Amino acid sequence: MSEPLFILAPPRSFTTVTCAMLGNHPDMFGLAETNLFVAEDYAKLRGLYRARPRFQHGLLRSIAELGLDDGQTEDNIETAKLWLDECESATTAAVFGDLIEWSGGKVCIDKSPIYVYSPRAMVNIASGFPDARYLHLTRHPRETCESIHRTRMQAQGAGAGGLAMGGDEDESVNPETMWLKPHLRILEFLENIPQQNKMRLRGEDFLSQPDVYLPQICEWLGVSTEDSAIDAMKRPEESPFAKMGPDNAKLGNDPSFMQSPALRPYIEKPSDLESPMSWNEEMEFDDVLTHYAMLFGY
Amino acid sequence: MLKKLKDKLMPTNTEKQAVNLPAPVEIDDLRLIPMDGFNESTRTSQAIIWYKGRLIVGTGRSPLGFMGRFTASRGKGGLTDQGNFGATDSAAGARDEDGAEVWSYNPETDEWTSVFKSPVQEGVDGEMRARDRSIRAAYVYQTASDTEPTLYLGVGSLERQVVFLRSTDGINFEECKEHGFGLGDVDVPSVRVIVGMNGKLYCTPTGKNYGRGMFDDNLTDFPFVFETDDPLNGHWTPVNEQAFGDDTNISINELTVLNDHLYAMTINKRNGFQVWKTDAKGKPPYQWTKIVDRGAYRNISSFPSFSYVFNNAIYVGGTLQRQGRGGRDRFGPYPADMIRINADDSWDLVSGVPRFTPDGFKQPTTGTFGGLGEDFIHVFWKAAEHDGWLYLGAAGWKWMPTYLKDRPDLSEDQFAYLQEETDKYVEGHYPMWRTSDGETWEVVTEEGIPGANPHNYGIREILGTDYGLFVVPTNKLGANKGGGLEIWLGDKKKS
Repeated sequence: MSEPLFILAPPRSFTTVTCAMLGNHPDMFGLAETNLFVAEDYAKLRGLYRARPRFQHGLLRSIAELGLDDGQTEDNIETAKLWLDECESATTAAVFGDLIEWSGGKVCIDKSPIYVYSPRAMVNIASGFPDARYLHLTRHPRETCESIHRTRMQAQGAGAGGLAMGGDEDESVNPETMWLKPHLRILEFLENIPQQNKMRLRGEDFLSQPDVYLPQICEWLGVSTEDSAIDAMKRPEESPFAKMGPDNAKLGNDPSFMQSPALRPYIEKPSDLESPMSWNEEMEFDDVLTHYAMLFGY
Repeated sequence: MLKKLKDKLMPTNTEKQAVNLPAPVEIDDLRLIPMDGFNESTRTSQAIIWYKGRLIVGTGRSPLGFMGRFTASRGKGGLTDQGNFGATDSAAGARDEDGAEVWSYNPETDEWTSVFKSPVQEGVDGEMRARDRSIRAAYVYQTASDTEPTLYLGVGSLERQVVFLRSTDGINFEECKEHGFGLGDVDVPSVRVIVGMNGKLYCTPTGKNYGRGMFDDNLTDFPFVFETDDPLNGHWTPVNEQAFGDDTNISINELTVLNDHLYAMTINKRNGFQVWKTDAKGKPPYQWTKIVDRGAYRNISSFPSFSYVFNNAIYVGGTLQRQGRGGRDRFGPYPADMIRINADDSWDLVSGVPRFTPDGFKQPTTGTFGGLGEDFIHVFWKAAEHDGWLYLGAAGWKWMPTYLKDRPDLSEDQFAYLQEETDKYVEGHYPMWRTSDGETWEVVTEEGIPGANPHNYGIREILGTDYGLFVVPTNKLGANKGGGLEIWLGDKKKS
């Protein structure tokens, strides 16, 4: 069994397309957002699912895709629910282990955004998979915050509740909570992870030069760097989660990605650390945030 | 981020060191050279060189009170943003009349000869004080205007402009014309390195005396490489576009020559240091090519701390110049990086955190994630070859626990770890390494030089000569305060 890969980043940091791309490697599999590790065992996880049913979609779709013939059908989603009911006493790590096994031992990739809002989730991952690998993905704080803000405004306009983070606090207020705190949680968690199991990558670099960075990621993970594998990874639209799921589990991935999953040429926008945020001229990056942005190469 | 845990090392190149080389110098081979006559304010040397069978030593004096340097108090905002740094007692400083000196050492007789002393002049406040603060660069080269290999020294000034000294015998020195690169009445007090190529000397301004705090000794208003084929008369000409066309390059800190190409390395606090290369052909400004960017993609490596050619490659130290304690200089230090630039412009990471880069996946060839495995080594300071071995000196920051004040960038665990380790600091401990192949690095010492002054905190100069390996630690204090300059000599063959 290959050790899994977890992509850690605040929301709107290119995690979905990155997961879909890496997951198209013949030796890897990009999961939908399983949100598994927010709890130690499935019984506790089910409590969260009851409060926010759509948080279960990604796991159900992943189970259907990997564990059942015919993949993501409405019937298979129902079967997956039944199977999960039988997992009442199982640890979430054990459930994740089953997904890896069903994938044929591939490097399974989980990029559930909720993990960076829950330090406990990352501890659960490390506890269940001590040799897991972690890709710390970054995006310019201004672009991240602007994107989160736009998404939130669109959701409010549509009458939804905004970008649901699922944490203990309102994370979608300012750059510190949107960008800095999730990154600090990631960094603090990664302090105790062996160096060879963690890497940081600027999402802008990755998307603007996939031919440069995809082979490097493969080299790090110890999987093939053959041209055919690299080419496959440039087709994220072929991910089984690049489209909406069946009616009883439609979500589980970034809706905007599912609407338009093909890899598009990406050119990094010039962005600075000095200007105030577009929606609030009183809101600027402080010294600490600026330090970390520079640490990450912004 | 510094590691809390000692990570498992990545696989290292386990090839044996070259076996046909002379035995390397061990730390116990070093003996302290008796020194007498140096002025009592002498603290360190930033420039030693071998010339005509003698060791030429340029000295550096301790400041006028560690926080009380005269010029610093004139800086915009004074020292209000500097925070606490080391000793703040102005009594820790040196005498005004003591300046930089140059001494010549005959290893056959153990005799020292004083060959240059800073003149004492009226300072800008009307008080008499030494003009020169430190001999900061030394190089032997025959330019198109010289009749023989000639010794050149770059002399940093306390209040005025950099002066170049010239000598053809190592005893008698003359001042070259055009102080401060002939730039006129500007603040160009020092240089950091001189190199020669194509019959010309190359040098770059370093430091500012005014309009800043005391800790900006490596910044400049003139981020240019200058050349001259007639150093005696000055005639310095800039040979690059200002700051290489990137205003985030705030100084050019290192120069080196490999295979008839000149390499210049910038300080860039914003994005990390850069390395530029030119063949210096045609008319200046020359064509330069950037071969390393963004601090070798450790963006906080703002400062190229040393460069040295060994086995047809350039070794470069990368560090965060945490001087100023304000704004973006508020955080750090971090374990120092080291890279190796190959003759074909490719580069390897020797020590540092693995990274994805536009130049490929870089994993440390030594399997160490910075500081050659020591978290507190924040600067690789000097490297030199001797008998086929490359020796590397460094400094750590455990002796400066003030670096742990006001650190919102650190997690509680990290802070506790750093504080705990800092509390373990032993006076006079600092490391030196050696390698014969650039792959396998051996520890020469982790505990300084046995019997050396306990106020030494790093190795500032190393020089391989036909007579042996000279090692110069640097000291927190001037001789008048219990510190001072020491020079150690090790020669396996003669010990």
